[in-house]
Amino acid sequence: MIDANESLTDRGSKLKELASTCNLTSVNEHLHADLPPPATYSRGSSKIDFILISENLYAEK
Amino acid sequence: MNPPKTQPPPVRLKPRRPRQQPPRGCTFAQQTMANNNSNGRNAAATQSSQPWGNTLQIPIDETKIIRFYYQNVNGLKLHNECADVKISCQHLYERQATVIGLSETKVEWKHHWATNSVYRALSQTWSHLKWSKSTSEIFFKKAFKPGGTCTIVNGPLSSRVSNKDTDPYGLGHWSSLTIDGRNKRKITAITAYCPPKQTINNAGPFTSFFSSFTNFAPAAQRIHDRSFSSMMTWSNI
Repeated sequence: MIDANESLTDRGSKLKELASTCNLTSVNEHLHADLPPPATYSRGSSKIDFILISENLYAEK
Repeated sequence: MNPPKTQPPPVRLKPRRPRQQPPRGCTFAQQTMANNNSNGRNAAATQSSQPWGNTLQIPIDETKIIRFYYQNVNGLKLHNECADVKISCQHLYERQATVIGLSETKVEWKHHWATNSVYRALSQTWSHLKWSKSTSEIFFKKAFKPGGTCTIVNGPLSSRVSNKDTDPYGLGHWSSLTIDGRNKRKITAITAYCPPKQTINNAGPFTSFFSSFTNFAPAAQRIHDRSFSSMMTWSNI
């Protein structure tokens, strides 16, 4: 659970690097890939707060 | 010359602002924490929050599902015996949140009275809980301190917490709790806060960035000096 103050889609995003290194994915994007991510910042339009989890923690369908 | 005052001036009562209560009821689908901003600055932004994704299901079978709840709280309000924290705890309790991550708590956890005050508020809602909190090494005289995080595990799962950890660099950027699961599996819940990118010239003195920079700069300077001196030694050889 992180307030990253940067988006996963930003160029050169350190969070993206972290997620890739630790094999973490964003829960919201994983479960609702069809929905545009919500803004989590009152003065902006991008999502900068995330819950990242390991792949093996997703419930089996 | 004014005559001596025999009566106190009349007290003018200001009309009280209506207190905002957290929404109640199981049909509630809002997935944001109740608005506990007393200054109303972000009230409009919070009120315009809309549910996103699935509707929140209440109740859930807590023996099979663990509900994680994360919120950038933009500061825990300690005044009035943490009344806002208590309201938020009630909100979380009703939504059966077991693992809770709070970032930007903005509390100087080194003040024992502040820590105890928050803990008392939490323990009024949950009789069993474990928590881990982080703050930078720089000591603030006041209880307000930018940044900080707090991770909470409550209920029966709290007895499964085997380890708690915090940012070893003294920046207070993250805190974590490790839960022992079935089949020797471990789940570590980390709550982290990364200050926004800026330079020391435009960062205010009471920002988390400034605090981190001030904390980290001497260590960075030492590393720099060491590498510089070793470089000098190498060049002298």
